[in-house]
Amino acid sequence: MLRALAKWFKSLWELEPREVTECNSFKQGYFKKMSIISDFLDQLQLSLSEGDPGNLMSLSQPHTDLLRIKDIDDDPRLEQVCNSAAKILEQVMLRDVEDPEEAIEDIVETVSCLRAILVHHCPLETVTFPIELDTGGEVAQFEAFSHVSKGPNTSTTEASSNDQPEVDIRFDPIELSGDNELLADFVTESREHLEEADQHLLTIESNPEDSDAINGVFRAFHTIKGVAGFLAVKPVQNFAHVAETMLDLARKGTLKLTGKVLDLTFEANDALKQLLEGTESALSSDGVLNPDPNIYDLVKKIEGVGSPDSHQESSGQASAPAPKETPIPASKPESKEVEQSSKVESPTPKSSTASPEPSKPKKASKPNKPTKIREMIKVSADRLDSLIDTIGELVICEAMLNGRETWKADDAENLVHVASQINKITRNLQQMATSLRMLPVRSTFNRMARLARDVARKINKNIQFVTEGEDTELDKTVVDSIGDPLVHMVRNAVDHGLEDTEEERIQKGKPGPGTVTLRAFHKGGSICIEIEDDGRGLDREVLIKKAIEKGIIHSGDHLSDSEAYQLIFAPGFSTAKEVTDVSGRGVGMDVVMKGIEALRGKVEIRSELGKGTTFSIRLPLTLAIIDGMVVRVTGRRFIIPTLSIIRMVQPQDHQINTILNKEKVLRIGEDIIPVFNLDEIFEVSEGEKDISNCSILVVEDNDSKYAFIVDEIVGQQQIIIKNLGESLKDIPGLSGGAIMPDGTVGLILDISGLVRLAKEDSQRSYSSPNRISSIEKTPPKDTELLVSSS
Amino acid sequence: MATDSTTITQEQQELAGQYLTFRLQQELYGVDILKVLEIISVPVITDVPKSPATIKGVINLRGRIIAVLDLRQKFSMPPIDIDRESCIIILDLAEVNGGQIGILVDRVSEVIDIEAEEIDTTINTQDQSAQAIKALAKNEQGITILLNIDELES
Repeated sequence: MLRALAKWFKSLWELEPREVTECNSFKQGYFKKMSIISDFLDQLQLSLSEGDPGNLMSLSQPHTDLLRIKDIDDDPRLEQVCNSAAKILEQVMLRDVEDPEEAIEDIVETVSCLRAILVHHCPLETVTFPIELDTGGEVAQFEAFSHVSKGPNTSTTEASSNDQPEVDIRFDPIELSGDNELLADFVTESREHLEEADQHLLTIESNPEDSDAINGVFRAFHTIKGVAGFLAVKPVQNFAHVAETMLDLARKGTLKLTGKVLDLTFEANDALKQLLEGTESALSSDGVLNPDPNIYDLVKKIEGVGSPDSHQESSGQASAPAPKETPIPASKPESKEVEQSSKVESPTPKSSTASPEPSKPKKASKPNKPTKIREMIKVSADRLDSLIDTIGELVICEAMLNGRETWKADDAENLVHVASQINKITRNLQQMATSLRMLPVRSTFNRMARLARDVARKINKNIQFVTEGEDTELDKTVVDSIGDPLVHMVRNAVDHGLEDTEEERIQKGKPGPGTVTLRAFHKGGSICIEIEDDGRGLDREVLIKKAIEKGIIHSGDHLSDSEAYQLIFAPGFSTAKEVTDVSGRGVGMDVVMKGIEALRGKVEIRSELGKGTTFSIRLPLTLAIIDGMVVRVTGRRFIIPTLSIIRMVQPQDHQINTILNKEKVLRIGEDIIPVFNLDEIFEVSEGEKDISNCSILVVEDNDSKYAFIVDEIVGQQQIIIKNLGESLKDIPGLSGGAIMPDGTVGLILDISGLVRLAKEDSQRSYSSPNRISSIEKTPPKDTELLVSSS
Repeated sequence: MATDSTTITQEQQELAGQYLTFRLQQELYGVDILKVLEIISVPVITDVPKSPATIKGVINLRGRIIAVLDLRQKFSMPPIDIDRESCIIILDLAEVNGGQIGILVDRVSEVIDIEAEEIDTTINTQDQSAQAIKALAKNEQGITILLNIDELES
């Protein structure tokens, strides 16, 4: 009875937001009102929790507040609840109740319920008022409703009871009406929650009894629901609610999160991610959130799980809204809904009745400024503190420099001291500033764990996915962009890397389930990320055969093992015997390569036939600052990333040989390395130079070595990479610029581009031998002319 | 001016306004003052190999790298040595490609007001770099060539 009563109230309130949103100017007022009510309830709860039944004075404040509700909102229903609560409070004050503390508890609970309904728009069935409400003569009516709402909704009650919005209405397209910035934050935060939930779900998969994990997932959905409610993102809120309801059962132990139910939870998580994506794109475009119609199906399934003990009823429930839930364009289900439910409350675009709502999702009521989801970085307070400390030191240093009116000649020692201090501080600051952008790879790794699970599930493999070194930190840009390449590689490892069947593995003396390990670690100033599988390994011969078939190479005799392995990065290369939807389309690994090259990284492959394969990605710690070797070439300075330099030599005459009197090669030990003149590549040559006075840099690109002749190696320094601007963005052989210590601009060389240039050059010179002679024989001045006219 | 005020086209109307004028050889050029970020003396310009001939190089403008366009080269004029009067005008290309570009000029002249009736949009040259010119302005001092900075880079 009490419950029915409460439900009736809630049902009344359920209408509230919709009524209000009828008018847009009113809507803003609505949000203002919401925040006032929210504040009010906060205060009320606080004063109540401080209330002591023994101390009458402490109760008078909440009592006044409760009676004051009229000033805030003249909603008669709100007033009714508050009056009832005030009455109970009065009874407490008059010592008219048996257990005053419990009574106060009840009132606090009531306030929470009010908040849930008014502020978070919690659907009715989740909220239960603990107190008896002062309802006057309407008890009979409540009973009528209680009858309806006890059982699952049949289609008839649905049609007659306007207060029960059905499945599809909950996922109607809505126009986002909350504060855009808050919404953007909401999307970012919710994503984090969902990623956490993913992680918990993986834990649950291996240990279904882990209540911490179950609670974790529940919390994620619950938080999202709450915030979504506050921001009036109805579809998200309602969906989170549906999922939460199911998880609540799991939390209470009546539902086991295994098998299908767990899959459903995963799906729910994904669907929620999709909804958030929808929200994000809505924010940046017209502000209308259109939930994917597929969601209806999922909701139906989840709700089916939610009421396992009433199977019949749940099927009845499913049949009633079935036509609405068919995954066809969103407008159709709505139009059917119009026929079934009352016109007043259905905010469907198709309804042509008097209600102003129908057109609401379409019209751009407010000038919609596209809002970008801001990128956020969580920084530990420690790091910020030490950054500020260091800046404090800098300020002191600055004062030491400027505080003195004049510097005398004999102050040199002091000056040197200050200079060295500033030097130290600057280096510290640089390090700290970089560290602010550092994030652990954990979130990316977690995503991979989820992906590996899904892929393995899809192709029916039993795998073990191990991650190591999740706390290794990387620049945020790298962490964000390493995701895509990793997706391909993890997918590849699970699908192709591991043997197809467990029998195959056992035959080879390996444990049945394959293991894929994803690990990150530091290695000599860079970060390594490795994907290792203990599967069948790469077969050199098969790779070469395939590459020849596809016309990527002509013969494979001269290829080293690692060169052969690199073939899988060639565009259009796929070794999968058949194309599945998991992988094997031949796009993928070349995407991986591009993605990693864009991050200034490298991929190495180690493999042993029958034992497994390891893909090792080497990335710079940060994108913005690199170690560079400054070299001089005909009066110009260039910077070569130290990462790509293998060695530097002062060549002896006998080390340099020519082939066919054209191509120069350098012999170091057993290696014969093609040599290129940097000045010739850049067409800035000033004639033949004496090689014994020059230096040679040996660099590595794609596992092959190349040597470049430079006039002088100036030294090594840390450089901050800057781009050269739009007009110079596609200059071959250059990857950017850096400000040198003397304030001028130095150019950073792009080794891969340089090698390409060099090869093109030498090919051209093969075809036109004249060019070589012209460069070698013409006096310097002529060459200059030749350059400027080209 | 003698121009009939009734024939002022919308284009002329839009082009009217304040221009920063500068000289290349004997010619007077103008750029929309609203696109000018600053005028600096010529710092050390780093030559960029393999770049288009019209790009003189790159400079460091307070930690930012900015490409410098050699207008003489662009308009096929003979190069001159950089002297004390040479300047780089930094232009805001935010609406074109989100960046900035510097143009190397012989000498910066002044800021002038150009009225709609002074503007002549019917330029007729065969030069291929003519698209960088959007109009001519005629006044007592002579002819000012108004540049279309959106087209400068191409």
